[in-house]
Amino acid sequence: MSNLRAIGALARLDLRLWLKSPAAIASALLPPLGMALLLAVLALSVGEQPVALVVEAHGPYALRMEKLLRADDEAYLLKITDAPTAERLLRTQEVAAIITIPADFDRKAVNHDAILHLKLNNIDIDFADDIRRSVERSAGQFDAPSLGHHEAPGAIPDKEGAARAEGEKHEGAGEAKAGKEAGPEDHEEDENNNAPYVFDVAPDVNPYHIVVEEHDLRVTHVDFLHYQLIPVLVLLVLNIGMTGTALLCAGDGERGTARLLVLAPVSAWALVVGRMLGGLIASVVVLIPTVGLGVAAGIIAPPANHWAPLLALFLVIALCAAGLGAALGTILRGSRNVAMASSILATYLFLMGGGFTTIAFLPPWLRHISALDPMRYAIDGLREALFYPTLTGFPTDLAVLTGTAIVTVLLGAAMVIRSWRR
Amino acid sequence: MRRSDLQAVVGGFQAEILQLRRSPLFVFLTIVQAITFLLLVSLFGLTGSSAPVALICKDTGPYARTFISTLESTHHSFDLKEMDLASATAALHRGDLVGILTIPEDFSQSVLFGKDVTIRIDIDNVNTDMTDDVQRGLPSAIVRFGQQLHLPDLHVRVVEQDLIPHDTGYIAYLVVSGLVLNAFVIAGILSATAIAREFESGTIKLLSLAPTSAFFPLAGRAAATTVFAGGALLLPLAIVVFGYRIVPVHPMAAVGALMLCTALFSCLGIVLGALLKRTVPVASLIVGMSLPLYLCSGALEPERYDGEKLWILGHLSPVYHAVGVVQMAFHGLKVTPESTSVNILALACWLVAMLALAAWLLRRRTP
Repeated sequence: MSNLRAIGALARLDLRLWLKSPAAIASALLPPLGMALLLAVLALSVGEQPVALVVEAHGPYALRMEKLLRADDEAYLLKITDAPTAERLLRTQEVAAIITIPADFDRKAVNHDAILHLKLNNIDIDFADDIRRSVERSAGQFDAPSLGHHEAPGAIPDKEGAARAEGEKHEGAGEAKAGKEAGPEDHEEDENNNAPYVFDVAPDVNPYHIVVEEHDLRVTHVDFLHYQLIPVLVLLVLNIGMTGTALLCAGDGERGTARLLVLAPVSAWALVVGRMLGGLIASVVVLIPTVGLGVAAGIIAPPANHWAPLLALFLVIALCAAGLGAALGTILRGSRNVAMASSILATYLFLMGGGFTTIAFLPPWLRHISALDPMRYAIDGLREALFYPTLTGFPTDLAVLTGTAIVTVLLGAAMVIRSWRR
Repeated sequence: MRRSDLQAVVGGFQAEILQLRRSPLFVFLTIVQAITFLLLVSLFGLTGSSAPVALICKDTGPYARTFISTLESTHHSFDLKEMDLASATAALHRGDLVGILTIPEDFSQSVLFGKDVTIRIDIDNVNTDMTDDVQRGLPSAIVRFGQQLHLPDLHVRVVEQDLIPHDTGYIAYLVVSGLVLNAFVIAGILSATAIAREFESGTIKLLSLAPTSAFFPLAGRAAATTVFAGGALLLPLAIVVFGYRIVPVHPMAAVGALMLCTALFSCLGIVLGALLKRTVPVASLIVGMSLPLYLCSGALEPERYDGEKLWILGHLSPVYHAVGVVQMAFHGLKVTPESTSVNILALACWLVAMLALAAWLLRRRTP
């Protein structure tokens, strides 16, 4: 009973100490906040690119080409203008490229030799390649409207097969776009545009003779912002739990409270449990309003039956963080160093866990390192619980994290007790 | 400035150098923090191109080979790995691949005789950005393939004119911008900590008893951290030059720009240190600030491509102009509508303004 009271008392005391230390709170909150802001801005910069479109021809072929380019609003942020203005926009970096449908487009198209000019400010390959791919796709769709994507249901057996069998809807943005472009509804839009007439080709015409059949592994499509932003919750829990516990443990040495704690008439293990409980509660205290805001903003919207697994996931992440923080707080000396080291360790665990990248793109040696990072399982589990209808891989993720939490808590506790006795 | 003031500046300088020599862990962590930033942007850069896709080619004919080489050369779209279906499916589910591309047995025959042939792509559509890249890359490769073969019935081809004679890799672009943030992290943390420490430990009260203003020893400390940060920045610079093999087009301009940034961010650190008066949150605040600053500065692509609002917002930060200067110095790229001389002038103005603000703040906050 006295041990339980001691655990509760130390947890309460540590939580109060943490809440009364704005410096510690700032240390824990600022990096995840910065990361969230970074990802939000990043989401704005991926996707469509500002491109000027200059239409110098007005025949049916040119109109069709123009319509195709205008319709691809996922790739381009089009500014339709004349050639001198487009050149000025390119020079002042208001657009990244100029697409020109030249005056002789129709005449040459009849002879199968029309040219679509692309003038590109190829500063880096990321956005330059995006534009190149998109313009070539548009040129391809001119002759082959169906050139694009044909999602076929019932692809290779996957972990969301069951949900798919239940008839959930595919979203297939590309397919929808291609279909819209080629479909008969074009004529209605043409009338609205007051175009005299549009050269059109049958939707199934494909002079390239290559048809793409796309099979999606997952039912859900997650946009870039949500996909990247959600893992910041892992960084938040990790940073608060780790920095909070580490600073409290480091404080024992600095304030001399370690000597008093070791003389207390309760088990040292009970006191360590209290300390880690304090770190865990601090994480929960910050997490609850954050998740609440996410739910209110519609960013966090898991299926109703995923809330319990989600809660379990957050708790084991917080436990891992508390254990790691305890170990770090005893190894290093000085609050400043402890705060910095905690922040760096949390950042590495987050990065190598796929928090800022897509694991598949990493070289094999980095993927192997990533497999050893418990936060990879935390991020995978979180995405699965929030974005996908089934939790097929979730038990494995939770098991790995629980194992890690047990090891880190025991290790951290042993190190804290040892440091008190020194 | 009196002789005693100068002595106080030199004394502060020497004391700070001694302090830094006695805090190797802190200095080490500061540099690691900066290098972490290079790793962060490199990891992000890896996702920008060459999606890892398994290739299952059931056709040994010449057109299949041509198509595969077209896929490989299409705008860094795919990193193709020949695999069998079982291992490819396992890798796709493990998250090691973005997709599986299957070319059927009759591919070459169909192309030869002008018959339609279906290629299958299984995509791990884990996020729409990644899926979009594949969905654009495949048609692009098909169009290039068709033009290589001079297929009949094609009406349009794309003719590209690049403003720059060579392409710059995404990671190469990102890490150069990252160097500016390295200067921000190293110089900012060191100088902010040096100033905040004086307030936190109460030394500032003792300095008030000195026969000169406390401003001068603090200025000496700040000068020491600036010099030290300039030296420390050579390590990330060496990593970029020798590790990433990015040799600056204008080496002297590159070093000069980074040193100018170091001085500027040191002044910013002094301001932060004098405002915070605590050392613990310094590193977190600077790292937390550096991330959004990085993105609003044209670090990923010219800032104006992200829209007018972000571009205007970018001008509120010296990082915007600094990225413009270092991209020109390293890659010869013009990433801001402003000329390089305007960017240098803007940085110099920022330096003077921050120096004045730091001096004013120190004078106000010291006895």
